[in-house]
Amino acid sequence: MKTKFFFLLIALSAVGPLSVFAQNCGEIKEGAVMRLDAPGKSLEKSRVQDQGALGTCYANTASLMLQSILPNNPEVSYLHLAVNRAEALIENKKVQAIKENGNLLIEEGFVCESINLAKISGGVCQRKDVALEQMMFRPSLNQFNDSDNLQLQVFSSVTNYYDGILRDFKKAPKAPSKASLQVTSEAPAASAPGASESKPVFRNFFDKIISGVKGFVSGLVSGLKKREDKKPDVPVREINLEDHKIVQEEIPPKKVEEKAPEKVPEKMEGELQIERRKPDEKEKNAKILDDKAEKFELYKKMLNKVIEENKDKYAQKACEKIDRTNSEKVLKNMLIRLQNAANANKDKLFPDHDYYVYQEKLGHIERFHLNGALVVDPVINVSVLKLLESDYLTALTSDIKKPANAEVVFKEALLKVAPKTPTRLIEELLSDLSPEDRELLNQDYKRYVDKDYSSCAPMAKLNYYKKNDGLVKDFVGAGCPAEFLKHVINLQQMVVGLDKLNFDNVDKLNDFISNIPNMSYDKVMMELIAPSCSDDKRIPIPSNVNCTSKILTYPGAPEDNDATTAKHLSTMKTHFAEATLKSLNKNRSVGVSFCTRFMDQNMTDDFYLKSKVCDVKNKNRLHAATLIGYKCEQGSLKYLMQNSWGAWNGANYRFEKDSYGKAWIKEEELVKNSYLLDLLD
Amino acid sequence: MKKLFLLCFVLFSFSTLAYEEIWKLGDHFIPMEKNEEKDLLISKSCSTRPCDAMNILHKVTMKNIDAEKLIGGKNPGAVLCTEKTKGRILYMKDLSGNENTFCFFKDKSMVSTGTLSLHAAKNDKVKKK
Repeated sequence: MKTKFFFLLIALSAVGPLSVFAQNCGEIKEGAVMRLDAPGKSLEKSRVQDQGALGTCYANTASLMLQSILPNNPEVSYLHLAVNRAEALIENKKVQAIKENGNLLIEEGFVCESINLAKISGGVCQRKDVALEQMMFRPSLNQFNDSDNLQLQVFSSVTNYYDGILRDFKKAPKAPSKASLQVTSEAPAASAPGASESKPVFRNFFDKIISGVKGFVSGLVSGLKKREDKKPDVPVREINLEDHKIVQEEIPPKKVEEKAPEKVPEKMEGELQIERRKPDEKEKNAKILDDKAEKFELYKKMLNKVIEENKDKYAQKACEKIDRTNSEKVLKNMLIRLQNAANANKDKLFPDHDYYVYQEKLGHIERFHLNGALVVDPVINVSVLKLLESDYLTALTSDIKKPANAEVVFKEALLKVAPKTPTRLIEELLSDLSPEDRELLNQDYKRYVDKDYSSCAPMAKLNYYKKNDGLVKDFVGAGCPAEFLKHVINLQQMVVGLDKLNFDNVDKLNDFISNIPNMSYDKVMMELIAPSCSDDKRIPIPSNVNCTSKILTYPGAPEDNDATTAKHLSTMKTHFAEATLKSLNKNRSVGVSFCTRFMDQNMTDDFYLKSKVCDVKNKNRLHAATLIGYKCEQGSLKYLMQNSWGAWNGANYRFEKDSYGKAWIKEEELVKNSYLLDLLD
Repeated sequence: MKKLFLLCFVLFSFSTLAYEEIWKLGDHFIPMEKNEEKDLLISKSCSTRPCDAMNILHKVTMKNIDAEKLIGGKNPGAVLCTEKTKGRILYMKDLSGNENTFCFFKDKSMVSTGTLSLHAAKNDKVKKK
C-alpha cells in the first residue's frame, strides 16, 4: 500500500506542473512554438530592418505586417508608408512637412493609419523600388566620406523646398469641418508610437489617448472623406467627433532660415517686383489667393527663364573643360590588374620585373584597414596624372590632328610613363581593358573630339543647380527678387541632397519645379526618392484587408491592491491573447505599441498601463514593433518580437534572445506595458 | 595531459568569446569582431590596438540626450552616435540581408549602434551606483 501511495505521489508530482503549464498558456500546449519566420510561413523571407535615426517605427512595423499578408510576401517600403501618411496629414490637416520642433512629419505615427492610407492611395512600393531605402547599401555612395545621415539629409532638403513653396505660393488652408465624419478604424490609435511626452512625466494617459484620438481621427477622417470617391468600397463607420471636442489646430508656418546674399541689384529688383495695389478688406482674402498663384507663376517664369538661358551654356562650358576623371579611373583599374598579374603564378608573358617596374612608374596601391577589413585603394603618381593632361587629353582636344580613337592616344601616353617598358606589355594591358573601361575612354573621345556631350551633360546640368557659380549666381545676376531667392537657395540645397542619391534626372527636376504647388508631398517625394516605384509598380492592398487598432487599458485604478491587480491582469492577458494568437495563427504578424521603459534591465516589474507613467526623463518613449510568433515554455506564454533596431543587442540582457534582432517577451510583461495592438483582418 | 587540457580550454574559451563576423557594405565585405559574452560588435582592428570605437564605449552615456531626439522609436544607438559621439551612421547588411547601423568614427573604427546603446545603459547604471 505504501509503495502504491509512493508511486501515486510521484505520478502526481510529475503531472502537476504540466497541468499548471497548460493552464497558463491557455489552449497552447506546453512546448509548442509558432513563428511566422519559419519555413512555409508568411515571414519566411523577412529580414530585420534598422530604422537608424529615423523615427519611423510605426512604418517599419506596418511594413512587416503587410509583408505577412500581401501575395508572395514582398518586402514593403517603410519610407513609402511614412511619406504617404505624411502626405495625408499635409493635405488634410494643413500641417507642414517639417514640424515645429524640426523633426520631419514622417517621424511618429500610427501603424494602422499608415496601412489604411496606403490602401486607399493605390498601394505600397516594394523596398527594392525605393532608391532612398536602397541607397545606404550602395558602395558607389562611399559613405565613409559622408558626414551626414543620408536619408535624413535627402528628406530634409526636399521637404524644406516643398514647405517653402507651399507656404508662399499655395492657397491658404481651410479649416476642416467639425461635422460628423467617417473613419475606417474600429478603434482609433492612441499616442503615436515613438512619441515622447511633452511633460517630464506622463501621468494622464487617458487624456493623452483622447488627445491622440482627436489628432488621429481629424487627420485621417478628412483624408478618407476626401479620398472616398476613389475607393467607395472601403468599409466606414460613423464617429461623432463633437463628443471628443475636436479642436482643429492649424500649425503656423515654420520660419525658414533665409540665406539671402548680401547684394541684390536694386534696379532689377525694382523692375521685377510684383505690382501691388491696396485692396479693401472685403477683397483682401480673395486677393491673397490670387496673389499667391500669381506669385508662383512669376517665380516659375523667372526661374525657368534663368535656367533655360544658362543651363546648357553652363553644361557646355563644364563639358569643354579638360577633365581627367575617366582616364584616371581606367588607370586605377589598370594598376589593380597589374598587381593581379604580378601576383599570378601562371600565364606570365613577361618577367616579374617588368610588371613591378611599370606598376611603380604608374602609381602604387595603398592598403589601409577599415575596421579590420583591408581596403585597397590605387593611387596614380602625380607625374602620370600630369602626363594624362599634357598628352592624352591635349591630343584629344587638339584641333590639328584628329585621333582615330581614344585608345590610340591613351596607349601613347602609357608608353611615355616608362619608355623602357616592352610595348607588348602595354598592348597586353590595353587588350585586357574591361568593356566599362573602354566605354570611359570612348566617352572621352565623344566629349573632346566629337563634341558630343551626351554623357557629360546630365551631371553638368545638375551641377548648374548645385554649384554656387550656377543658378543662384545667375538668378541674382538677372535681378530676380530677393523674396524668391530663398526658394532658389532651398532648391540648391535640395539638389545637393539629391546628389547623394546619385540623382541625375534634370528633366524630372524641371517638371518638379514647375508643378510643385500642385503636387502632393507623396508625389514629390516618390518622384525624387523612388523614381522606380511608378503607380503601376505599386502593390495594391486587397480591399478585404483592413487594419484595426485595439486600445489596451488597465480596467482598474492605480491604487488597486495585489489581488485586484492580478484579477485585472488576468482579464487583460485573455484579451491580448485572443486578438494576438488569432492573428498569428492566421499567418499574420501583429503590430504592438508600448512604452520602452519595461525594456530597461531594472524594470522587470514595470506596469505601464497601471502606472500610466512613461517618463522621458530616463529616455523612455513610445515605440512600435512586430509580434511574429509565440511559444509555451514551462507553463508560460511568450511572444516573439521583431524589432527595427538591427541587431538589438539590448534584448540580450533583458529578454530571451532569439535570432538576430528578435527576442521572446513574456506574455505578462508585454500585456502590462503595451497600449495598442494593430491587427490585420 | 593537464597542459593539453588547459590549452584546449583556452582555445575553446577564446572561440566562444570572440569571432569574426562578416558584414556587407554594397559589394564590400567588412569583417567585424563579435563577442557575444561582452556583447560587442566592433571593428576587428580594435582587438589589436586602441580605437575610437572602443574608447567611446567606455564613456558613452544617454544622459543629456534630448528626449525629442528619440521620437518615432529611433534606434537609441543611432541617436547616440550622432548626438554624443560625433560619429557617422553607416548602414550595413549581414549576409542574409538583415540590416544593422554602425557608428563610424574618424579613425575608421566602427561599432554597432546596438552595442553602443547597450554600453551607454551599462555605464549609466554603474554611475548611478
